[in-house]
Amino acid sequence: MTHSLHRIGSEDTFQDDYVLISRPAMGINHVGCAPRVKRTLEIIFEEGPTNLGSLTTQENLTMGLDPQELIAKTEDNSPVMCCFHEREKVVKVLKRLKEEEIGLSVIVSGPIDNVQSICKEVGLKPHSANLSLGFHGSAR
Amino acid sequence: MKIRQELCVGCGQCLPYCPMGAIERGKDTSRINWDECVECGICIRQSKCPVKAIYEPPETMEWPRSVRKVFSDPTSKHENTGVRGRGTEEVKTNDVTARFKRGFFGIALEFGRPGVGTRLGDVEVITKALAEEGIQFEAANPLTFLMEDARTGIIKEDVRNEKVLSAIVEFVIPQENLEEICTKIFETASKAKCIFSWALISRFEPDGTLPVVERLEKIGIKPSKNMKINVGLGRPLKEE
Repeated sequence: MTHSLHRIGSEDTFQDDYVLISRPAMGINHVGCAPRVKRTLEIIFEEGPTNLGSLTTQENLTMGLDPQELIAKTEDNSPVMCCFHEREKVVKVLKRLKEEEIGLSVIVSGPIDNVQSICKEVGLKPHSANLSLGFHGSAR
Repeated sequence: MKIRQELCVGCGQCLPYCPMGAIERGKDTSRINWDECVECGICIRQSKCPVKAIYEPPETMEWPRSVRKVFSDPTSKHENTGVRGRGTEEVKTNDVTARFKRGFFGIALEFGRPGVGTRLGDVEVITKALAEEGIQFEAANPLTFLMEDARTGIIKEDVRNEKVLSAIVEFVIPQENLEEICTKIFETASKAKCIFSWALISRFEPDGTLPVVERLEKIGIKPSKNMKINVGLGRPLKEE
Protein backbone atom coordinates (compact mmCIF):
# COMPACT_ATOMS: atom_id res chain seq x y z
CA MET A 1 0.00 0.00 0.00
CA THR A 2 1.46 3.34 -1.01
CA HIS A 3 1.09 5.23 2.23
CA SER A 4 3.68 6.28 4.78
CA LEU A 5 1.33 5.94 7.76
CA HIS A 6 -1.67 3.68 7.23
CA ARG A 7 -0.59 0.07 6.77
CA ILE A 8 -2.63 -3.06 6.17
CA GLY A 9 -1.53 -6.42 7.52
CA SER A 10 -0.16 -7.87 10.73
CA GLU A 11 2.59 -6.10 12.62
CA ASP A 12 4.97 -8.90 11.69
CA THR A 13 4.76 -7.92 8.04
CA PHE A 14 6.23 -4.46 8.56
CA GLN A 15 8.75 -5.10 11.33
CA ASP A 16 11.67 -4.07 9.12
CA ASP A 17 9.84 -1.69 6.85
CA TYR A 18 10.80 1.96 7.28
CA VAL A 19 9.74 5.02 5.29
CA LEU A 20 12.05 8.02 5.63
CA ILE A 21 10.97 11.46 4.49
CA SER A 22 13.00 14.65 4.77
CA ARG A 23 11.94 18.12 3.78
CA PRO A 24 12.28 21.78 4.71
CA ALA A 25 9.39 23.72 6.23
CA MET A 26 8.06 26.01 3.52
CA GLY A 27 8.29 29.63 4.56
CA ILE A 28 10.59 28.90 7.50
CA ASN A 29 13.81 27.21 6.44
CA HIS A 30 13.34 26.34 2.76
CA VAL A 31 15.08 29.30 1.10
CA GLY A 32 18.54 28.28 -0.02
CA CYS A 33 18.26 24.75 1.38
CA ALA A 34 18.89 22.89 -1.91
CA PRO A 35 22.51 22.05 -0.93
CA ARG A 36 21.21 20.45 2.29
CA VAL A 37 18.59 18.46 0.37
CA LYS A 38 21.33 17.32 -2.03
CA ARG A 39 23.57 16.26 0.84
CA THR A 40 20.67 14.34 2.40
CA LEU A 41 20.18 12.51 -0.90
CA GLU A 42 23.91 11.74 -1.16
CA ILE A 43 23.93 10.23 2.34
CA ILE A 44 20.84 8.15 1.61
CA PHE A 45 22.19 6.88 -1.71
CA GLU A 46 25.50 5.97 -0.05
CA GLU A 47 23.66 3.86 2.53
CA GLY A 48 21.48 2.19 -0.11
CA PRO A 49 17.70 2.61 0.19
CA THR A 50 15.35 -0.16 -0.92
CA ASN A 51 13.61 2.45 -3.08
CA LEU A 52 13.53 6.22 -3.48
CA GLY A 53 10.94 8.20 -5.40
CA SER A 54 11.15 11.68 -6.85
CA LEU A 55 8.46 14.18 -7.80
CA THR A 56 11.18 16.10 -9.63
CA THR A 57 12.10 13.40 -12.13
CA GLN A 58 8.84 11.45 -11.64
CA GLU A 59 10.82 8.23 -11.31
CA ASN A 60 11.98 5.88 -8.61
CA LEU A 61 14.98 3.61 -8.18
CA THR A 62 13.14 0.51 -9.37
CA MET A 63 12.23 2.38 -12.58
CA GLY A 64 15.86 3.31 -13.15
CA LEU A 65 16.12 6.72 -11.47
CA ASP A 66 19.64 8.12 -11.88
CA PRO A 67 20.83 9.39 -8.47
CA GLN A 68 23.24 11.94 -9.96
CA GLU A 69 20.58 13.30 -12.29
CA LEU A 70 18.16 13.66 -9.40
CA ILE A 71 20.74 15.39 -7.19
CA ALA A 72 21.56 17.80 -10.02
CA LYS A 73 17.88 18.74 -10.44
CA THR A 74 17.17 19.18 -6.72
CA GLU A 75 15.62 22.49 -5.68
CA ASP A 76 14.83 24.21 -2.38
CA ASN A 77 11.35 22.67 -2.16
CA SER A 78 12.26 19.12 -3.23
CA PRO A 79 11.12 16.57 -0.64
CA VAL A 80 13.16 13.40 -0.09
CA MET A 81 11.10 10.19 0.08
CA CYS A 82 12.59 6.72 0.40
CA CYS A 83 12.24 3.40 2.19
CA PHE A 84 14.57 0.92 3.87
CA HIS A 85 14.25 -2.68 4.92
CA GLU A 86 17.30 -2.71 7.19
CA ARG A 87 17.24 -1.08 10.62
CA GLU A 88 20.99 -0.48 10.57
CA LYS A 89 20.79 1.60 7.42
CA VAL A 90 18.21 3.89 9.02
CA VAL A 91 20.50 4.26 12.04
CA LYS A 92 23.45 5.19 9.81
CA VAL A 93 21.48 7.74 7.79
CA LEU A 94 20.13 9.47 10.90
CA LYS A 95 23.55 9.48 12.57
CA ARG A 96 25.12 11.15 9.56
CA LEU A 97 22.31 13.71 9.18
CA LYS A 98 22.73 14.56 12.87
CA GLU A 99 26.53 14.71 12.80
CA GLU A 100 26.56 16.93 9.72
CA GLU A 101 23.82 19.16 11.22
CA ILE A 102 21.82 19.15 7.99
CA GLY A 103 18.86 20.74 9.79
CA LEU A 104 16.01 19.55 7.57
CA SER A 105 13.04 17.88 9.24
CA VAL A 106 13.07 14.08 9.09
CA ILE A 107 10.28 11.64 9.74
CA VAL A 108 10.66 7.90 10.05
CA SER A 109 7.56 5.76 9.67
CA GLY A 110 7.72 2.30 11.18
CA PRO A 111 6.84 0.24 14.27
CA ILE A 112 6.92 2.68 17.18
CA ASP A 113 9.10 0.50 19.41
CA ASN A 114 11.66 0.10 16.61
CA VAL A 115 11.72 3.80 15.74
CA GLN A 116 12.12 4.81 19.38
CA SER A 117 14.94 2.30 19.74
CA ILE A 118 16.63 3.75 16.64
CA CYS A 119 16.27 7.30 18.00
CA LYS A 120 17.79 6.23 21.30
CA GLU A 121 20.75 4.64 19.55
CA VAL A 122 21.32 7.76 17.43
CA GLY A 123 20.84 10.13 20.37
CA LEU A 124 17.65 11.76 19.09
CA LYS A 125 14.63 12.88 21.07
CA PRO A 126 11.48 12.12 19.02
CA HIS A 127 9.44 15.30 18.63
CA SER A 128 5.95 14.34 17.43
CA ALA A 129 4.02 11.30 16.28
CA ASN A 130 1.32 10.74 13.71
CA LEU A 131 -0.87 7.81 14.78
CA SER A 132 -3.02 5.80 12.39
CA LEU A 133 -6.50 5.29 13.88
CA GLY A 134 -7.76 3.02 11.11
CA PHE A 135 -10.41 3.14 8.40
CA HIS A 136 -14.12 3.90 8.30
CA GLY A 137 -16.91 4.44 5.84
CA SER A 138 -18.03 2.76 2.67
CA ALA A 139 -15.77 1.52 -0.12
CA ARG A 140 -18.64 1.23 -2.62
CA MET B 1 -7.07 12.19 -19.36
CA LYS B 2 -8.19 10.88 -22.71
CA ILE B 3 -7.01 8.30 -25.21
CA ARG B 4 -6.66 9.26 -28.87
CA GLN B 5 -8.86 6.68 -30.55
CA GLU B 6 -7.09 7.07 -33.88
CA LEU B 7 -3.79 6.04 -32.24
CA CYS B 8 -4.86 3.46 -29.63
CA VAL B 9 -4.05 -0.13 -30.63
CA GLY B 10 -6.17 -1.63 -27.84
CA CYS B 11 -3.27 -3.47 -26.23
CA GLY B 12 -4.67 -2.83 -22.73
CA GLN B 13 -1.23 -2.16 -21.26
CA CYS B 14 -2.53 0.99 -19.52
CA LEU B 15 -5.48 -0.67 -17.74
CA PRO B 16 -3.71 -1.96 -14.59
CA TYR B 17 -2.09 1.42 -13.92
CA CYS B 18 -5.33 3.32 -13.33
CA PRO B 19 -6.00 3.43 -9.54
CA MET B 20 -9.68 4.15 -10.21
CA GLY B 21 -10.16 1.37 -12.78
CA ALA B 22 -11.44 4.07 -15.12
CA ILE B 23 -9.87 2.76 -18.33
CA GLU B 24 -12.31 0.61 -20.24
CA ARG B 25 -11.22 -1.81 -22.95
CA GLY B 26 -13.41 -1.90 -26.04
CA LYS B 27 -13.32 -4.18 -29.05
CA ASP B 28 -10.43 -2.42 -30.77
CA THR B 29 -9.41 0.44 -28.49
CA SER B 30 -9.44 1.53 -24.86
CA ARG B 31 -11.24 4.60 -23.50
CA ILE B 32 -11.07 6.52 -20.24
CA ASN B 33 -14.33 7.01 -18.37
CA TRP B 34 -14.32 10.81 -18.16
CA ASP B 35 -16.57 10.93 -15.09
CA GLU B 36 -14.53 8.39 -13.11
CA CYS B 37 -11.07 9.69 -14.08
CA VAL B 38 -9.48 11.69 -11.23
CA GLU B 39 -6.72 13.18 -13.43
CA CYS B 40 -3.91 11.65 -11.38
CA GLY B 41 -1.78 11.24 -14.52
CA ILE B 42 -0.43 7.84 -13.53
CA CYS B 43 -1.49 6.37 -16.89
CA ILE B 44 0.68 8.86 -18.78
CA ARG B 45 3.65 8.68 -16.41
CA GLN B 46 3.79 4.96 -15.72
CA SER B 47 2.08 2.84 -18.36
CA LYS B 48 4.47 3.77 -21.21
CA CYS B 49 1.81 3.63 -23.93
CA PRO B 50 3.55 2.14 -27.00
CA VAL B 51 1.82 4.60 -29.36
CA LYS B 52 1.60 7.60 -26.98
CA ALA B 53 -2.19 7.69 -27.29
CA ILE B 54 -2.87 8.96 -23.76
CA TYR B 55 -3.02 12.73 -23.42
CA GLU B 56 -4.24 15.51 -21.17
CA PRO B 57 -6.84 17.60 -23.01
CA PRO B 58 -7.09 21.37 -22.32
CA GLU B 59 -10.46 20.94 -20.53
CA THR B 60 -8.63 19.07 -17.73
CA MET B 61 -7.52 22.43 -16.42
CA GLU B 62 -10.88 24.18 -16.77
CA TRP B 63 -12.80 24.97 -13.59
CA PRO B 64 -14.20 22.99 -11.81
CA ARG B 65 -12.61 19.92 -13.44
CA SER B 66 -9.19 21.36 -12.59
CA VAL B 67 -9.60 20.50 -8.90
CA ARG B 68 -9.33 16.80 -9.80
CA LYS B 69 -5.72 17.15 -10.86
CA VAL B 70 -4.87 19.39 -7.92
CA PHE B 71 -6.10 16.79 -5.44
CA SER B 72 -4.95 13.68 -7.31
CA ASP B 73 -1.64 14.41 -9.03
CA PRO B 74 1.24 15.16 -6.64
CA THR B 75 3.24 16.61 -9.54
CA SER B 76 0.59 19.22 -10.41
CA LYS B 77 0.57 22.95 -9.81
CA HIS B 78 -2.18 24.33 -7.61
CA GLU B 79 -3.31 27.68 -8.97
CA ASN B 80 -7.01 27.03 -8.36
CA THR B 81 -6.94 26.26 -4.66
CA GLY B 82 -4.26 28.75 -3.73
CA VAL B 83 -2.58 26.10 -1.57
CA ARG B 84 0.11 23.59 -2.55
CA GLY B 85 -0.60 19.87 -2.11
CA ARG B 86 -3.62 18.00 -0.73
CA GLY B 87 -2.80 18.94 2.82
CA THR B 88 -0.29 20.66 5.03
CA GLU B 89 3.20 19.46 5.93
CA GLU B 90 1.48 18.11 9.08
CA VAL B 91 3.86 16.16 11.35
CA LYS B 92 6.66 16.16 8.76
CA THR B 93 7.99 19.57 9.79
CA ASN B 94 6.35 19.99 13.19
CA ASP B 95 9.75 20.32 14.91
CA VAL B 96 10.21 23.58 12.98
CA THR B 97 6.64 24.84 12.47
CA ALA B 98 5.08 23.91 15.84
CA ARG B 99 1.79 23.52 13.98
CA PHE B 100 0.79 21.04 16.70
CA LYS B 101 1.77 22.37 20.12
CA ARG B 102 1.74 20.71 23.51
CA GLY B 103 -1.79 20.65 24.87
CA PHE B 104 -3.27 20.17 21.41
CA PHE B 105 -3.80 17.30 18.97
CA GLY B 106 -3.95 17.42 15.20
CA ILE B 107 -6.52 15.28 13.42
CA ALA B 108 -6.57 14.38 9.72
CA LEU B 109 -9.29 12.45 7.91
CA GLU B 110 -8.30 11.33 4.43
CA PHE B 111 -11.26 10.50 2.19
CA GLY B 112 -10.94 8.19 -0.80
CA ARG B 113 -7.84 6.28 0.23
CA PRO B 114 -7.10 3.49 -0.02
CA GLY B 115 -7.98 2.98 -3.63
CA VAL B 116 -11.53 4.20 -4.21
CA GLY B 117 -11.38 7.98 -4.61
CA THR B 118 -14.08 10.36 -3.42
CA ARG B 119 -16.51 12.94 -4.74
CA LEU B 120 -15.70 16.19 -2.96
CA GLY B 121 -19.30 16.53 -1.77
CA ASP B 122 -19.05 13.19 0.04
CA VAL B 123 -16.78 14.64 2.74
CA GLU B 124 -19.67 16.83 3.97
CA VAL B 125 -21.13 14.07 6.15
CA ILE B 126 -18.14 14.52 8.40
CA THR B 127 -17.27 18.18 7.87
CA LYS B 128 -20.82 19.38 8.68
CA ALA B 129 -20.89 17.27 11.85
CA LEU B 130 -17.50 18.60 12.91
CA ALA B 131 -18.51 22.18 12.14
CA GLU B 132 -21.49 21.75 14.47
CA GLU B 133 -18.98 20.89 17.19
CA GLY B 134 -17.22 24.20 16.57
CA ILE B 135 -14.21 22.71 14.78
CA GLN B 136 -12.10 25.23 12.88
CA PHE B 137 -10.72 23.62 9.74
CA GLU B 138 -7.08 24.15 8.81
CA ALA B 139 -6.94 27.32 6.69
CA ALA B 140 -3.85 26.14 4.80
CA ASN B 141 -5.60 22.99 3.55
CA PRO B 142 -7.01 23.12 -0.01
CA LEU B 143 -10.27 21.41 0.99
CA THR B 144 -11.04 24.24 3.41
CA PHE B 145 -10.57 26.61 0.46
CA LEU B 146 -13.34 24.72 -1.37
CA MET B 147 -15.88 25.12 1.44
CA GLU B 148 -18.75 27.54 0.88
CA ASP B 149 -18.34 28.54 4.49
CA ALA B 150 -15.71 26.93 6.73
CA ARG B 151 -18.01 27.53 9.73
CA THR B 152 -20.59 25.11 8.27
CA GLY B 153 -18.33 22.60 6.51
CA ILE B 154 -20.46 22.82 3.34
CA ILE B 155 -18.60 22.25 0.07
CA LYS B 156 -19.07 24.70 -2.83
CA GLU B 157 -21.81 23.59 -5.21
CA ASP B 158 -19.73 23.73 -8.39
CA VAL B 159 -17.08 21.26 -7.12
CA ARG B 160 -19.30 18.84 -5.20
CA ASN B 161 -19.42 16.20 -7.94
CA GLU B 162 -15.75 16.38 -8.85
CA LYS B 163 -14.01 13.06 -8.16
CA VAL B 164 -10.51 13.09 -6.67
CA LEU B 165 -8.02 10.45 -5.57
CA SER B 166 -8.26 11.72 -2.02
CA ALA B 167 -9.18 14.78 0.02
CA ILE B 168 -7.89 15.52 3.50
CA VAL B 169 -9.82 17.25 6.29
CA GLU B 170 -7.41 18.74 8.84
CA PHE B 171 -7.94 20.50 12.15
CA VAL B 172 -6.48 20.98 15.62
CA ILE B 173 -8.29 20.33 18.92
CA PRO B 174 -7.44 21.16 22.53
CA GLN B 175 -6.37 17.92 24.19
CA GLU B 176 -9.27 18.03 26.66
CA ASN B 177 -11.69 17.62 23.72
CA LEU B 178 -10.12 14.35 22.50
CA GLU B 179 -12.77 11.92 23.68
CA GLU B 180 -15.70 14.13 22.62
CA ILE B 181 -14.41 14.74 19.08
CA CYS B 182 -13.22 11.18 18.47
CA THR B 183 -16.57 9.82 19.62
CA LYS B 184 -18.33 12.24 17.27
CA ILE B 185 -16.19 11.06 14.34
CA PHE B 186 -16.79 7.43 15.31
CA GLU B 187 -20.57 7.97 15.45
CA THR B 188 -20.69 9.88 12.17
CA ALA B 189 -18.43 7.44 10.30
CA SER B 190 -21.25 4.98 9.69
CA LYS B 191 -23.04 7.62 7.59
CA ALA B 192 -20.03 8.30 5.37
CA LYS B 193 -20.62 7.53 1.70
CA CYS B 194 -16.93 6.98 1.12
CA ILE B 195 -14.03 5.24 2.79
CA PHE B 196 -11.73 7.38 4.91
CA SER B 197 -8.65 6.85 7.03
CA TRP B 198 -7.99 8.94 10.08
CA ALA B 199 -4.93 9.90 12.04
CA LEU B 200 -3.96 11.90 15.10
CA ILE B 201 -0.82 13.95 15.70
CA SER B 202 0.60 14.38 19.18
CA ARG B 203 3.75 15.80 20.69
CA PHE B 204 5.82 13.36 22.73
CA GLU B 205 5.95 14.21 26.44
CA PRO B 206 9.34 15.36 27.75
CA ASP B 207 9.87 11.83 29.14
CA GLY B 208 9.35 10.34 25.67
CA THR B 209 5.90 8.88 26.31
CA LEU B 210 2.67 9.25 24.32
CA PRO B 211 -0.18 9.33 26.87
CA VAL B 212 -2.73 9.85 24.10
CA VAL B 213 -2.46 6.14 23.20
CA GLU B 214 -3.96 5.10 26.55
CA ARG B 215 -6.70 7.74 26.29
CA LEU B 216 -7.66 6.48 22.83
CA GLU B 217 -7.72 2.87 23.96
CA LYS B 218 -10.08 3.79 26.82
CA ILE B 219 -12.68 4.92 24.27
CA GLY B 220 -12.19 1.83 22.11
CA ILE B 221 -9.74 3.19 19.53
CA LYS B 222 -6.56 1.18 19.13
CA PRO B 223 -3.85 3.06 17.23
CA SER B 224 -1.63 1.07 14.88
CA LYS B 225 1.85 0.18 16.10
CA ASN B 226 3.09 1.69 12.85
CA MET B 227 3.56 5.40 13.47
CA LYS B 228 5.08 8.31 11.60
CA ILE B 229 7.66 9.88 13.86
CA ASN B 230 9.23 13.32 13.51
CA VAL B 231 12.65 12.57 14.96
CA GLY B 232 13.46 16.19 15.83
CA LEU B 233 16.30 16.91 13.39
CA GLY B 234 14.78 20.10 11.90
CA ARG B 235 16.38 23.46 12.68
CA PRO B 236 15.61 25.95 14.09
CA LEU B 237 13.86 23.68 16.59
CA LYS B 238 10.61 25.13 17.89
CA GLU B 239 10.00 23.94 21.40
CA GLU B 240 6.59 25.26 22.39
